[in-house]
Amino acid sequence: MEDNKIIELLFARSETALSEIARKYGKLCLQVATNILGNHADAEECVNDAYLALWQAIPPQRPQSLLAFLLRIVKNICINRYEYNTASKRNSNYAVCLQEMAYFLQADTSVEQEVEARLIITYIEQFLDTLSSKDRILFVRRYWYFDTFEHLALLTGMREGTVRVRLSRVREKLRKYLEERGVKL
Amino acid sequence: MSDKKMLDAMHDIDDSYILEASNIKAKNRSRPWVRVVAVAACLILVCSAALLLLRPEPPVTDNGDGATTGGTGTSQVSFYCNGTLYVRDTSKAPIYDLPAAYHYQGNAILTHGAIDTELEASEAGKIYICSDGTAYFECTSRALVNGKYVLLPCIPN
Repeated sequence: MEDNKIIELLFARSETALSEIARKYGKLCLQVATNILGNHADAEECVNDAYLALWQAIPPQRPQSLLAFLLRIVKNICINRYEYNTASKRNSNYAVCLQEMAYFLQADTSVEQEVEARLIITYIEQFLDTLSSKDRILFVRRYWYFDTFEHLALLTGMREGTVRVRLSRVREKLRKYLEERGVKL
Repeated sequence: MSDKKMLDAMHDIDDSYILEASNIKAKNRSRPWVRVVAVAACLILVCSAALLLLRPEPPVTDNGDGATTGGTGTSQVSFYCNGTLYVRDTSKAPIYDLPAAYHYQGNAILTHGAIDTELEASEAGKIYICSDGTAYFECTSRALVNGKYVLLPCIPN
């Protein structure tokens, strides 16, 4: 089923939309979640939470790309879970409380910081446009999808060592690119 | 800029990059050497088979009693006797009684690699020549059939 139809089903409050999303994008969502959390059970739980969040977000939102929208939700939920788990593992009540308050602390971000962050995103996008298609996909799969080198090697048909070297070169290029534009690293 | 900020910035890149990367499908790693090794293995196999089929005749050796043995290297059955090569005449059926006029030519042993329906390697026998020039290999290493050995028609080569 096409994404537009799924969005229409979501607007019509049809639960078929969720089963269709799970069928179409469930595997990729679970992969991203597992990449972040390293735990299959947690990953499944986060993906289910993401479906619920999607259900609540659409409507009123109508995303241009359903997949990107869904993956962003999955990532946000997984990163929050990861930080929570990490804080719990530190066995510090303070860290857990800090994590629970993170939502309010993040709201304190200044306009200046927000502008700077937006600028960096623009630079990264411009940098990605300078890369070859293969390098760009490698970079995004590694630093957006958090794929392992092993999985990247499988996806691209390259050796794991080659993937590491290529990504290392791309990172170095990005560092220079940002430095030239006055971004402090 | 911290690593976390960098990853956060990456998180907000345009959807088009995310979609581009999502379309990638797993590929089989190309291993050109596998093809090379496979081709080399096939070539070796073909060359070995050709060498086996086209190997030269083994030297003819004298058994000391006038009989000599040797092989053709092919599936054609042959016998050596007193320096003459006799090739099995497959157009004629084996017989069990020699024709009236014949003389004993010598002992012969079949020592070829090929096995056919009639003979096996290292079968021993005698060569008889008839008055019409037809030779017969009497296969004395075989069991008697009705009190007689089988006689295989041969052609002196």
